[in-house]
Amino acid sequence: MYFTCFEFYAKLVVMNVPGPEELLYLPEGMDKVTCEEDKRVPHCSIFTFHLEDHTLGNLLRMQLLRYPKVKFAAYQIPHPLVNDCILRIQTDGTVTPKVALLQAFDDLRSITENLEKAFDEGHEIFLKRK
Amino acid sequence: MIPDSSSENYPNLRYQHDKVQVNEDAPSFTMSMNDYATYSNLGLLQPITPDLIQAMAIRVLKNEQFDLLFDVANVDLSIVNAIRRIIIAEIPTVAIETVFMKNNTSVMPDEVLSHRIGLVPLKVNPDLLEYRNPGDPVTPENTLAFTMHVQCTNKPGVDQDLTDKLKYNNSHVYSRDIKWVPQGQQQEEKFAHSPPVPVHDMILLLQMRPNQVVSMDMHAVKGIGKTHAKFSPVATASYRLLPEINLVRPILGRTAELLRAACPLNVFDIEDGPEAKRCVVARPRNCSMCRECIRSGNGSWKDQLPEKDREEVNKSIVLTRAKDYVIFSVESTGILDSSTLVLQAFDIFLQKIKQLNAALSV
Ligand code: SF4
Repeated sequence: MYFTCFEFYAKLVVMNVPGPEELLYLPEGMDKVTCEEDKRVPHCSIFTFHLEDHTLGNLLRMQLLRYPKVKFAAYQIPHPLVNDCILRIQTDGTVTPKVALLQAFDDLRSITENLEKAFDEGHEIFLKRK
Repeated sequence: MIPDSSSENYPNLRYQHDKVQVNEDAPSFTMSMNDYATYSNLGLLQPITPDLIQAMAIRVLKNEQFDLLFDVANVDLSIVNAIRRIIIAEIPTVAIETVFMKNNTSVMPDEVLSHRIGLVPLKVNPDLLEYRNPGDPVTPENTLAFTMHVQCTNKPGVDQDLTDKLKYNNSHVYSRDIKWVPQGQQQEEKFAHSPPVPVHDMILLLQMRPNQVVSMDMHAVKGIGKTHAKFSPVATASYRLLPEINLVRPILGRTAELLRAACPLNVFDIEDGPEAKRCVVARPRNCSMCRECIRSGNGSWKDQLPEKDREEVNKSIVLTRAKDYVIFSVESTGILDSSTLVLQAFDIFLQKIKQLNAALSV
């Protein structure tokens, strides 16, 4: 009763463009990350992150390339309308790609936590100087 | 540090790793590494150590509601870029999503007007509203209702030669005409200390002539910039590498005068040197890397130099950008303070990492 034009909204017909919800919510029963082994090359895995984009892809790639044990790391967005990010990792065999990826998450977390602290400190110094 | 372009070991690997060199035609050394081995013999590329983390620093230069400027040192660009992308696309705000047009006799089509209204930034704390998922009912918890009714009329008895604003009432419709309609007691109390209004009062939405009317109801919901740019909390969030202008050899006398005058952004100053007046880089941050100072050819400032000096000058000025020092700027639309946006971006970043880590660990 509060809102006007209730029924009208319900009847609103949308075109066949992908709705915003496709960018926001994982379909029922889908995993956020899937991991698949690439059989053609040794020690190589392909990770698919659903509902992720360049923000994450480039981040993980650059982080993984820092590790001596990672031989190859690259990411791909298969299609602009597909909200997936595919990351391919090959290692030298001393660790599995998954372990390398978990290490990357760990490092990124400590970097960001530190960066947040650095921002707070920088901000405080700025306020004091004023 | 900056090698003379005539020296033997130019350009060495360390230099390629640290700088982008901006040449007259195109920049060089822009690429990052392909794998660990690229720079490993320099000890440059290593897994993150506490030392490296300690070296990261942020210096805030300007902090206002609409404008934040800070420097980030020793942080990998992929992380800076992730923060930038999160600020633009993943911080939630509230914007008008549905417009119920009741009457529109103005010349502006319904859909164009609706689009303009959607882009008006609304001063609403996004934490006070829930997301409305597809199929959810419209409730006071997830939707704000607004209304706008404006009719343009003649002002009786005014000179017809006056401007529109003086001749007519409501000839210009501004964002301040968008009025919040509280839905129920609860919502009214929740937003009592900061009732939802457009951030700016005077955003021109459309113009009308006498007897034209626009009348509509609007629903605002919470969303993120990924789905529609109207939800983006910033006008821009951008970063650029620190510009460095290196005068490898001193530039003296008349050449110095000419160089100072050639730079459109006033980067150089003239100083009294021991023998002659000398050019110094006074305001490197002003530099937009327009490359006017290294341009040769028709109409460049070097035309006024004698032939033999030009070679010399070409070698003396080296433009570079530091790859490990960025100048980050955030221009908020005013819904949230710029510094709040950066802190929120860090939080969202961390959440994302934690969520993926958890998803992968199972
Ligand atoms: S690149 Fe352009 S702005 Fe920068 S110092 Fe040279 S002339 Fe000035």
